[in-house]
This record gives sequence, structure tokens and C-alpha cells, in this order.
Amino acid sequence: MIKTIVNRSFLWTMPAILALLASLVIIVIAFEAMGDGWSRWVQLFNQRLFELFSRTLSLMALSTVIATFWGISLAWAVEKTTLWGNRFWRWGLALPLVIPPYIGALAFLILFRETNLPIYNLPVTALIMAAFTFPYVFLIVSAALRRMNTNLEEAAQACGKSPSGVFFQVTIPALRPAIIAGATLVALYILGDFGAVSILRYDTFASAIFFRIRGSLDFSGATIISTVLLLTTFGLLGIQRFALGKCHRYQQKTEDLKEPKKIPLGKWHFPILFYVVLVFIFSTLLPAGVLIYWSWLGISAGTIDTSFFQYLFNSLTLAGGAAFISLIFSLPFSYLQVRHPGLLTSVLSGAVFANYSLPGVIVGLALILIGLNFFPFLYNTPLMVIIAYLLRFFPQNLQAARSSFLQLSPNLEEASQSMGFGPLKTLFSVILPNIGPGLLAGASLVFVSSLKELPASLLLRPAGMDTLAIRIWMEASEGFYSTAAPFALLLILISIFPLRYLLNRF
Amino acid sequence: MFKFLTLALFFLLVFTGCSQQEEDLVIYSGRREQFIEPILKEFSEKTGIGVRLLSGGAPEYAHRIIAEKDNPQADLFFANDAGIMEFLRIEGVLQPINTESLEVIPTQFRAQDNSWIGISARSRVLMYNPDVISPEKAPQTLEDLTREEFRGKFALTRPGNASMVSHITALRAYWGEAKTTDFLEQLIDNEPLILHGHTDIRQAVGRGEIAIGLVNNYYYHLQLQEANNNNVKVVYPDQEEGQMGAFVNIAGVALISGSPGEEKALKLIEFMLQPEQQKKFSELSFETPLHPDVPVLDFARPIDSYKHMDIELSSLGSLWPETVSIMERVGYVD
Repeated sequence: MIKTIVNRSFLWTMPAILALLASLVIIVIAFEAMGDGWSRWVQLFNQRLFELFSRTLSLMALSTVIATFWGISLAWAVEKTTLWGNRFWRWGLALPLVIPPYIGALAFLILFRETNLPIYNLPVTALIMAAFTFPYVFLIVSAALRRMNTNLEEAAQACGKSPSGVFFQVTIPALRPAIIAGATLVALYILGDFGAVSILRYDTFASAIFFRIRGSLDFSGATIISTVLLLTTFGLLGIQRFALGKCHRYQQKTEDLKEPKKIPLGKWHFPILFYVVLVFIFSTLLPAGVLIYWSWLGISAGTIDTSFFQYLFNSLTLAGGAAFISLIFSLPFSYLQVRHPGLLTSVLSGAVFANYSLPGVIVGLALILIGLNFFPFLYNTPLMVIIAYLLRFFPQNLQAARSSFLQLSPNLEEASQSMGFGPLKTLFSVILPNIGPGLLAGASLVFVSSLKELPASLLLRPAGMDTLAIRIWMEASEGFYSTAAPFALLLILISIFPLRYLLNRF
Repeated sequence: MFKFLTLALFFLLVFTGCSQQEEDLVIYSGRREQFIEPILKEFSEKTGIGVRLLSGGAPEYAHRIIAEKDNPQADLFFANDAGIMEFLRIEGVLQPINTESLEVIPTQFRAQDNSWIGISARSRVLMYNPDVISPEKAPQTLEDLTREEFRGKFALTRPGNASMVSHITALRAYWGEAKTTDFLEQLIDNEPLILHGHTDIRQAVGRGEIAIGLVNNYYYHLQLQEANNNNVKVVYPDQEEGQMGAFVNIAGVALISGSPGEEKALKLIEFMLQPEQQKKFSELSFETPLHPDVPVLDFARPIDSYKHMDIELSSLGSLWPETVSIMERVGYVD
């Protein structure tokens, strides 16, 4: 069936190109890591690699648990209940995605510095990291909830199950692919993030890699730690594969005429609303408030001029280009993952996921070597930055697309064929209407992540292509927070529009 | 479908429109853009030579220059630290600057083969808030910071900061490995407040949140310029007879080996060494000019008015890796 829907070679070509690029990054890193022989490995292992390993894993585990809990519970409250204001929460709770984590962490730091509370510890760091990452779970689970066929839940309810019984025995199992997709994004993000963890002074693999690169100018040491990080990622992906198992439940939403019934919250309305508002304040209002205060200081000091719009244009072009290409690649790639799971597909997706968990500076440096040696005509062009964004964030698009595909039964495609629809017609009238929203949502994730991206942009941009994120860094790294803040605020504002637009058509 | 094609066409136009001008001078810079841009602008206006400035982290550009060794893409590297430039010289990616005008810079502030030269000086000083600690009780030497009375009362920058690594490398060059390790261990045991950057330190000292901060001297100058919280004082450490003196680092410029626009690069260096440009630069950055004829800002101390640590800046590059392993051993890592 698949062969007739889309030409098979087309289907494999695009994922293969992307995976090849991603593999080149991995190969460059592994090659550099082997360069100095085993003695360097032994030396690094003897120092603090094991300690870093356990610190990184504990932060990752704790943040992922918190973010997943918030993501699922908030998605359920917003999509399934009569919660007050749920049209706003639907996109309002995705807002932390548009706050650059290094700026957010800085804002928290400055807020809490006055209080003398101990903040440089695992629980606080995990909470703050979860505040910036839970929307990955929230978005993907919300989308799944909206597409979910409510017949099962209604049947369970009719059979006398309590609301919590329905939730745990029907809803959650049906959401498993979406939950795992979101949790994987959170876990891998934590592995590769440097900005926020360094501000919170929590050492992870990523901060060790940065110390090697920045403090000691030791690229081969950085690649050795990166290799360990890559192996950790592959381990996690193995766990993800195991957790997903083979039990796919296809259940696309039939064209219901009636809106699915919302659960009345009754006496629980106020506590649940309180919880939602609390998460919103912590993850969005507090950092945004600090930013607005700084911006006010900065704007009244006259830091804004016309160059501002050039940076804005650069940011939009680069992030837009990356999101656009990512959107195109995500269709065949997610199709392969769902309809053709197997060793080859796992290898292809393993390569792109590995890049997602790597710190941007390592991807950037590897791309410099790759660009110089294989694509000199691309070097020093904006396309290098776009390729970096694509490699760094494509899995966000893929996870969203894939969880949509997992809910689309292949029977529909077969039915379309048997009705005499050609492959293109099937694609446009059966597949895209069902998974299009998932693809777009994924591409919007790539867009907002690219807007915030810093390390690879700094390394790879051609002259004159400074982005807003770069300007923020330039000012903030020198401690001129009030000069940085208007840029950060603008970055957030321009991210909100695509986010809202795309979320409305989920 | 139509929207899709329009979007595709748009990106195609944007990317093909971004062709690069080959004849421009390309600079990788680890320095704050505002300090450099006015000088580059004037240079372009006077000479007609286009300049493309890429600002970012000096270490990242150092890696990029090494990666581009066989196919150099830039002409000059502006760095805020001698150690990193010397590191690049040892890696063989720099070439000597052949111009007579660099003779105005004293030899101790240049590479042995002149492949990098200092433009301005930045001395490591202890700034303090006299409301928190009285001048007679303020530390007078670097080693004072390890004393019990200063426990938890001083701030350091994050260990990834190049100025900090260079300072420790200088100590390593002066004291040797054993004494440096001891000192650093005691320093870290004395509970320093570790802040993100030097600006955070100067502001924290200005607000009186911490008594003392180890910074480059121009951060002290910058804090004096603030409208509020500007009651700060400075100690140039280790000035007494028999003491080692303050560590004087430089910010400067290096010529990249195989630079595509070498001649223009030399013109820019000559331009930057003119007294009026040196003056302008020190006014923008609050750093100390190295040109002997250029006066310092009235609140700054001239470069020859205090005792310097007697080490070769050009020795910093080779000791750099060892310094980092000392820092890792004592747990002063990011």
C-alpha cells in the first residue's frame, strides 16, 4: 500500500539526507574524541565524569517527572474539563517555550537572590528546568486529547467508572505515545541545555563540555564528554522504544457533530484553577515580569534603534526557514517511523535525536568542520545556520508528527486506495487533514526553538546576520541586563503570534 | 499550496541575495561590540575599506580559527586576553604583524614574534565597598583573600571566564604548580561568592551585597560611572616591597595566518595604534591605553604607576591546559 501512496524512494530519500547530515556530526565528534587516544579518556573518567553522569541523570529524571506531571495534568484540565478560561490556557500554558531559558533562569536568580533561600541545588534547578520544558508534554498531549475518540471514555463512564477511573484506565493508556514523545523531548533537552544550568550553577555534561571549550580551549576533551552524552542519549532512546512497545491504538476522531462532553469540576474547580494559575505564574509571569522591568529601564535609557528591526528580520528569516524545511522533512520521516518501524528507521531517527541532545556549541563546531570540508559553497551563508537549527530541533517536529500518525489508522489509507483515490489524492484528502495539525504544531516548536537558539547561531552566522538571541547574549553576557531585556521581550512577543496561530489550528 | 510556493520562493530569494563581498576585511571578535564599532566605522570612512565584524565569545572564535586553519576565512582576531591569543600562536594559526607602528607598544605586551599585540591593558584588582569594609581592613594582597576574616566576603567570576583563567595561569607561571594549587584550594575553601560575570560582581560590590570583588580594573572604573551605588574603592594588590605586583593582562589583536586581506588588516592595526584611536578606545572601554603618549582617564591609574607581576604574557598559552587541570582538581569548574 505504501509503495503506491508515495513513491518509495522519495519516502526514504528525505529522511536519509537528514540522517546523513546528523550522522556526519556524530562521526566528526567521535573522530575527534578518538584523536588523542585512550589516555585522555582514562584521564577524564578519573576526574569527574562519573560524578557528572549521576548529576546529569538525576537532574534529567527529576525535571522530566515534574514536567510530565505538569504537562499531562494541565492538558487534561484544559482540554477535558470546564475549567475557567481554558481558551486562554490552551496557548497561555505554551508560553514558557518562548522564553529563552538562560534569560528565564537569570530572572529567577535575581528574584530569589533577595530572599536568601538556598537555590543552588537539585530540586530548585529541576523545578526551573521543568518550568521551561513542560509545554513540550502539554502541547503534544493536548493535541492528542483533542484528536482522541471520546467514545471509549464515554463507554467507560456509562459502565459506571468514576472520572478518575476513566482517566487512569482509559485516557492515560490512550495517551501513552504522546506522553512518551513529550517526555523524551524534555529529557533530551535537559541533557543538552547549557544556558540555564550554568546560571543555576548545576554541573551537567553540557556544562563540562562548555568548560572544556571555553575555559580550556580543549576541543578533543569536549568531544569525549560529548561521546558519553551521545551514548546516554542512545540508551534513553532505547528506553523510549521499549516504553512505546508495540501496542499502537489507532483511534482518529470521527467527524463528530457534537462537541465531546466536558467534565464539570464542581468543588474541585477552585483548587485546580489555583494550580493552573500557580504554574503559569511560576513559568511565565515571574520571568516575564522581571524582563518587563528591565526593558522599562533599558528603553527609558534609549537602547532601541533601527538596527533592532534588522535583527528581527534576521531572526524571522532563519527560524522561519528552519521551520519550513523541517515541516517538509517531518512528513516522510514520521510516516516511516510509524508505518515502517524497523532497524533502518531506528538508525535514521537515532541519528537525528542524538543531535537534539548535544549542546549547540558542539553541533556548531562540528558543522564548521563539515561545512569547510564537504560543503564549502554553503560555508558562511545563512543556510549553515538553518541546517544547524534543523539538526538541533527537528525531533521536536518529528515527535509531534509521529504522535499524530500513531493515532491514524492505516485502514483509512487503504480505504482511500480501494475507493480509487490516487496517492496524491490520498495524501491531501486523507493523510494531511488528519496529521497536518500535528506537523504544523511540530514546525511551530522548531520555529520558537530556533528563535531562541544561541550557540550555533553565534558560531555559524555570516557577518550581518545577528539574530535577536545573539543581541540578547551580547548584552546579558556583559551583565547589561537592561539593554538585553528589550530584545528578549521582543523575541517573546514575536514568538507568541506563530504560537497562537498554530495552536488554534491544532 | 499557493502559500507554500510563495514561502519557498521567499526563502530562495533571501538566501541567494545574501552573497558575500569578498574584498571586505573579516574580523572575529571576542570583545564587546560597542567598544569597537565606532573605531571600525571611522576606519571604513577614511580608507574606503569595508569591514565585516563578527562578535561572539573569544574561545568559540579560537576554535573556529583552528578549524579553518587550512582555509582561513578571517583576517583578524580581537581578543580580551593574552592567553588565548598565545594559545592560537602555539597552534600555528597566527602570523607575525609586520608593521613598524607596533613599536609604540612595549615589548612585554606583544607576542615574541609579534603575531599578536596588546592594544589596552586590564589589571586584576580588588574592588571593595568602604561601607562594608573599612579601607584599613581591606585586603592588600591576593593571598589575603584566603584569610579567615574574609571568609564568604569576596566574589569571583565563573571559572570559565578567560580573564580568570589567565590570572590563575599567571600565578602558575609565577609561583609554580604546588603553590598555585594550594592557594586556589584555600581560596575556594574560603567560600567565595561565585557570580556569572564581572559586571555582576561590580554591581554586587556597589550595592554592598558583598564586600570585595576580584575584577579587571575597568569594571571598577565602570562602577564609578554609575548614577547609584558608586561608592567603591580599589586596591591594586601586592604592591609592597617583596610582593609580586598586580597581574596586568591585555586586550589586543592577532593576525590570522593566511589572512585573505593581510594588507588591509595591517592598515587597520596601524590605524588602531594611532594615539587618537587609542584615546577613543580607552574612553569607550575604560581600559588603560598601552600607548605611552595617551593620557589615562582621570580616575584611572597610568599603566606605569604601579607594580606589575613579573611574568611574560607570552608564557600564558603553554601553561593554559595545566592551569585548567589545577582548577578542575580543586573543584573550581563550571
